[in-house]
Amino acid sequence: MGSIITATRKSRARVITQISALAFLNVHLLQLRSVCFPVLNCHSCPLAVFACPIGVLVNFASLRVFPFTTVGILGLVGILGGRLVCGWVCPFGLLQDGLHKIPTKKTSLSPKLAYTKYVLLIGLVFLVPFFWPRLPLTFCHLCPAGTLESAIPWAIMGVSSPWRFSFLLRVAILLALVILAIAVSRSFCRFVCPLGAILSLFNGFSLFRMRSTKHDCTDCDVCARECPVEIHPVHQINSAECVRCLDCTSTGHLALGIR
Amino acid sequence: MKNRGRFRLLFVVLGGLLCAGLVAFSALGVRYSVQGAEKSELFIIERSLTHSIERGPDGRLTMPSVSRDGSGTVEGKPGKQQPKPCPT
Repeated sequence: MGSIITATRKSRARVITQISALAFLNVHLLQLRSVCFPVLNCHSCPLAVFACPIGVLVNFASLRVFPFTTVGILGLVGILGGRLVCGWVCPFGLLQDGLHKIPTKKTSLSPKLAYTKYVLLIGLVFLVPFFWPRLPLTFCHLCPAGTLESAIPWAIMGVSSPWRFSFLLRVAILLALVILAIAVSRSFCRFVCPLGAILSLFNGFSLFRMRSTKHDCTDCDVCARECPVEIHPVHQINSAECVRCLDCTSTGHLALGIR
Repeated sequence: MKNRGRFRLLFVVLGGLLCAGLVAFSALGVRYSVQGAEKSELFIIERSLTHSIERGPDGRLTMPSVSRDGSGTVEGKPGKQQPKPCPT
């Protein structure tokens, strides 16, 4: 009973953190767009405060300049908590969590599809902008977060036309991912997000990481049922897919720690 | 097992220092020549967000909408203006 209460409090704390982060990242009063914040929040959003690290990586690849600051910030965040920001801060994660709560039939996809995000990272974030900087096929041109936060608002404000193939393609991708997020939990984070792909590289050795008390694990699989990214938190502890939402800690057999 | 934990912590400390070093190096040491002026990486980031900086055919970084002295406009092009986010 105690653990259930703790879990409810924890998930409420996570939602509050995610909503606060969404507000903080989009208060128009601050303008710090020369600094990137390590979550997927499009800097082309009329209200955005910080730059999106994926956008900066794409732009710097097309300029053929090494992004020292962005690599440093991503490295620091990754070394500290791995994908902790995916679970607790990212506004697109919040959207997906909300969409998955819609009561419809749920399904799951092959875990092997998780490699897609690494292909997209290498292809659409590094190679395409580096070798073909003028080709409108970088990750930013297709990013659903960018469509939601930037392309649609700018079209509504009349700055850009909504009757372009590129815009309609973006909206189609966004709709597909929204439907996917309703059916498959955190599908964008697991299969598409290039930022998640970068931060997942740190999950295995980051300072703050999951630890289990395996000796009292009864294999009840409650933690696996709680997990939004459909891994077994005890058997696949600190997996690259873990977004450190801490929902599994409600069982009392897992915790976030330094050791 | 204990050694593995120590090795991980050492890796975390060294990695953290390396990443912090990258940020500090960028802030203090990295400068790019843009139309004859030395610019910081933060400036490049800010300009790149609005696509108001590009690599020219000669391989140098240029800002197409700003004249070489950085003060005004290029013939037939819009003047130096507050960057607008790109309507991607």
